[in-house]
Parts: sequence; structure tokens; C-alpha cells
Amino acid sequence: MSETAQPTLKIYFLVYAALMIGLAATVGAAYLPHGPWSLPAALAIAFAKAALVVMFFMHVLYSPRLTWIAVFAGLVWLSILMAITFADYMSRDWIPTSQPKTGLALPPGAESVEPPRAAAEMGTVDAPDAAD
Amino acid sequence: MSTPAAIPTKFSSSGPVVAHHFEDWEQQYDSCVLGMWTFLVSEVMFFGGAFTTYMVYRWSYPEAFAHASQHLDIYWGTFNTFVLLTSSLTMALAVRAAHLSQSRTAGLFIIATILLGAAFLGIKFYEYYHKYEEGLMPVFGMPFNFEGPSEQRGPTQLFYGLYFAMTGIHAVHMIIGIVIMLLFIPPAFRGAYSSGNSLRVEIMGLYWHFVDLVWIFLFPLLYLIDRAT
Repeated sequence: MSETAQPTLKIYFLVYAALMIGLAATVGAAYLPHGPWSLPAALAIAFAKAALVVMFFMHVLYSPRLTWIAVFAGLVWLSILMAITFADYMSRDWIPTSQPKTGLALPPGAESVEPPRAAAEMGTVDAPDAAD
Repeated sequence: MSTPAAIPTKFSSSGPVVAHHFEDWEQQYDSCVLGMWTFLVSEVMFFGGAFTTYMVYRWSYPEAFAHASQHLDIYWGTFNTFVLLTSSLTMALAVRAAHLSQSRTAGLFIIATILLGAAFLGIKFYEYYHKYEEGLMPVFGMPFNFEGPSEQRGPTQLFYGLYFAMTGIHAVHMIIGIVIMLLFIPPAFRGAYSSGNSLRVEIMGLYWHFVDLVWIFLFPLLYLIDRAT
């Protein structure tokens, strides 16, 4: 960003107002019974707030394209990290193996292990999130 | 960056100094911002590992995570988010003042940002102490007063472990930010951030906004799981 190109005072306060609305929306949305949609809703609002901070407060909108590449490289590598990790953990119960199902490792002090999620979804045991 | 050759006096204000390996101030400015972003991307990956761990265990133990999350203080959590977002605004205004060569104004906004950051940390440590008193701080072998089905004990402990680890490293980042900002106050009131010499304040601003970004994701993920039930 060159010194001449920067947001006006009005834009800063508008972004701040939008962040406050986002905060109210996050807390409000958490108390609405969305069921499985509450996590995507919370993340969508968080990403919207993050985009406002990155674009205006961090001046990326006014920065050279090289800065944009660096910012989006972070996003891309984070997506790779998460996508491949989740692809592993969430598919572990899909294929039956000779290994006993132990789920994830628990810290010391844990006494037993919940049934794997996939088994719950097939209806063999009660689904963990249907209990509440 | 090199320092000006002039003998510093009480009234001297140092303008932007172009280091010898840069073509001009514009190039130096963009390079430093790009360098800071490279560091911030490495920070994204650092926190990203923690967030990935959190998501894997939340997916595995949704019930325990929801139950434990509801024990966190929603009022202090929301108020703290408000405090940190406001500190981001004052930091943005400090950077703006530096860009407009208003060094003293930049200093005042940096002080405001420090005060808001310190308020955030104060509230955070009050929350920690409250959790410790309740026996809900099962880290480093501290007691864990868990009431509920025994099979939920381990997953609940995992949630609190992730809560203290993630908010803890976030708090460490804030403490580092506050210490660096304190170092910015004397030069600001000596008029160092005038004549377009705004680069350092801009870089500091990027760091502080990054800390804010992490909290924007931490707050809904830790405090707001299944509040409707």
C-alpha cells in the first residue's frame, strides 16, 4: 500500500460497526436451534469478520498483488492441512479392518471410549448428538 | 533499516530512511509488508494445527465438547471479543495517524490499544482463575472436578486442554504484542512517525490485527457450541 491509498475514517468506522454486528450475529446464531448448521453458520460469520479485518484493517485491499498471493497462499495451505487430516480421521471407520475399533487416543484419566461415529450413524448404537 | 546520519536532537524527527538494498521507499515499504505477511502465514499454519486438532476431537466427541463449552462464561467471552475488536479499531486508527504523519496521535491510539489489550488479558486471566477455582483446569496435573458420566470424562478433559492451550498461546501472542507496542510509545511522542515514516507502525498493526483474527475464530469455536440446547 502506498501512503496515499488508504481507507477513509468513515470506512474504518463502518468496518468496526460491521464487526460489532457480526459479533452480535455470532452470539445470536449460537442460541438459535440450527442443529447441524450451527457450526457452518458460526464459521461463515467468522470468515466474514476475518475478511473485513484482512481487507480493510490490514490494508490488503489496497496492497500490491504480491501481498494478495502471500495471504491466499496461507489460506490454501491451511485448507490442504485440514482437508487431508479430516479425510483421514473421518473415513477411518468406513472400511472394516481386522483391528479392533478404538477411536482416537485419549489422554490419561480417560476410562472408556465413545462408540465410533460411523457406527452410530449406521444405527447400531445411539447417535452421540441425538441424546440431548 | 539504517538510521539517519544526523546527530539526533530533542527536536529532530526522522523521516523514512531507505536502506541501501532497496530502490526506493515504495519498494522497501512493500517488501517489509510482504515479509510480515510471510511471517503471519507461518503463524496461520501454527494456529491452524491447533484448530485442526480441535476440529478432529470435536467431530469425535460432539456431546462432551458441547457440554464443556457451556461451562465457559459467555458474558465475559462476548465482552472480551468486543474489547479485542475495539483494540483492532484503535490500532487501525494509530496506523492511519502514522500514515498522515501525526506521530503524537499515533502514540495516543497505541496507548489506547495497549490499554484495551491489557483489559482483554485481565478478563482472560480472571476467567482462568475462576476455572481453576471450579476445578475445571485439568492441565499440568491440576484437579479436575468432573460431574457426569465417566465415559465423558476424557473427552471433556480434552476440550479443556484445547481451551487452555489455544487461548494460552493466543494470550502469549497478545503479551508479545503489548510489549512491542510499549516500545513504540517513546518514539511516537518524539515525533518519529512523521514525514511519512509509518512503516513500523503499519507492521505492528498487521501483527495486532492477526491476533484479533485468531480470536475471531477461537470465540465461536470454544464458547458457542450448541448453546441452543
